[in-house]
Amino acid sequence: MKIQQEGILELLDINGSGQLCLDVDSSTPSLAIGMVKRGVETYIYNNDRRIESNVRRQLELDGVESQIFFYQEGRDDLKFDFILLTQNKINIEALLVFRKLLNSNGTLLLNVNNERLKKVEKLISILGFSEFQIYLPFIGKEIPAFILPKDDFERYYHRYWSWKTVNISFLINKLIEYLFFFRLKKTWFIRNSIVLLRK
Amino acid sequence: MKVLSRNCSHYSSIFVVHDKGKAIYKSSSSLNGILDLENEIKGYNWYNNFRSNEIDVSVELKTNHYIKIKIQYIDALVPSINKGYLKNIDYIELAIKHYVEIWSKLPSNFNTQPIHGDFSIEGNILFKDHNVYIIDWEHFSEQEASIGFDAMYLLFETMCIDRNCSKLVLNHVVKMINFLKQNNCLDDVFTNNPLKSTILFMKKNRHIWGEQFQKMPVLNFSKKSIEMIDAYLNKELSV
Repeated sequence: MKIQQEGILELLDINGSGQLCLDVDSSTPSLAIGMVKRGVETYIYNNDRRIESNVRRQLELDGVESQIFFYQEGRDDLKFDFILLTQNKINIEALLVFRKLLNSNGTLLLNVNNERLKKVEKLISILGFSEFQIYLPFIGKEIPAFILPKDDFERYYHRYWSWKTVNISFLINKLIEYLFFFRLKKTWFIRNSIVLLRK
Repeated sequence: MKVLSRNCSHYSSIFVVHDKGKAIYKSSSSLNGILDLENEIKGYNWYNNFRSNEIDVSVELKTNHYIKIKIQYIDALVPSINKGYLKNIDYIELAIKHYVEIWSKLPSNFNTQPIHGDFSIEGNILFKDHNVYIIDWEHFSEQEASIGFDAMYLLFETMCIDRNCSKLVLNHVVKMINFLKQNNCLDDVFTNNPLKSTILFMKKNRHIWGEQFQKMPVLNFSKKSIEMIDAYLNKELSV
C-alpha cells in the first residue's frame, strides 16, 4: 500500500534531478520518500518537525541514504521544479504562495479530496497557470488501480465495463455507470483527484 | 498525455504509465520491482536477438532505489481473453506459431530453456497484421524450464479463464500440442499429464513469479478438472 501511494509521482516528468517542495502531512511521507528515491532533492514545507523526522526514519528503514531538507519560509533564493500539495479543499491563497515558489517551467501537483469537479475546474482556471490537466482515479477506495486524464475517463470506463452478457451483474453495473456519469456531470464529490498545473 | 494504467496491480510493485502513442514506461522503487524490471530488460534483449524488427527498450532513469524503463509503443491489437477460448482461436494459433518461430531457434543441447513466464494473450502478446509481439518480460528466466512451458501455459490459462473444457477446446489443445511436438518445441515432460506437469513446474519454481505467483489463473483448476482434462489429453495424444 505504501508503494502504491507513489503512483501519482509517475505522472510527473522526473529525470533524476531537480528540486521538490512538498507540503506533507503525517499520512503522506511516502510521497517524500518516493521523490527521494527518484533522485530529487526534497524539501519539506511543514511547520511540524515531527513529519521530517518521520520521513527520515522511513528513509532509514528503506535503506535510502539521502538528505531531506526543511523548507524555511522566506528563502526566496529557492525555486522548485515540482511542488506537491495535498489538500482536501482547494485553498487559493496557499496555491498562490506555492505558485511563486515554482521554477518558470515548474509543475505543481495538487491532490484534491472531497471537492466538486466543477469547482476544481473553476478555481484552477483563475490561477494563471499556462496549462493544467485533471486526473481521476479509478477503482480502489484509498489507492487507485489506475489514474486517467479526465477526458479519457469515459472511454476507459466503457472499455472496463464491457460485459459479454446481460444479467444481474450487468444491471448493477449500469447503476454504477449512472453514478459515474453523475460524477462526470461535475456534481459529484471527487476523491483523490490529481491536478497537474504547469507554470 | 500520460495515463497511470497499472498502479502496482496483481501483487506487483511496478507502475505502468502509457504516454499515448509514444511510449510505455514501467518503473518501481521497491527492491523486488527493480529486480523484475532489470529482468524485463534481459528478456527483451534475449527476444530481440530472434526478431528482425527489434522492440526498443531503454533505461530512462536509474538511482540506487528506483528504476524507470521506456518501452517502444506498439500500435497493435490486444485480444480480449474474456471472449473465451474459441473466439480467440486465431490469436492462440498465431501466438503458438510465433512461440515455435522463436524457441525453435534455440540450441537443443540444453535440457532447459528460457521462459517468458506470463505468456498470455491477456495483454502480453500483441498482434498486428499477422505480426506477433511478446511484451511484459518481467518474469523472464533463463535456463529454467523444459521447452514448451510457455505454450502450455497460454493454452491452459485461456481455457481456465473461459471455464470451457469442451471437446472442441480440448481437441484444439491436442492440435496445438501436436504442432509443438512436430516442431521440437515441446519436451516429453509435457506430453504426459500436460496440465498437471505445467502446474507442477510452476509450484516447484514459484520464485520466478514471486508474490505474483498467487495471481496465476492456471493454479485455479480444481483437482477434478485437472484429472479430467489430462485424461482426455493423454488419450488423444497417444493415438
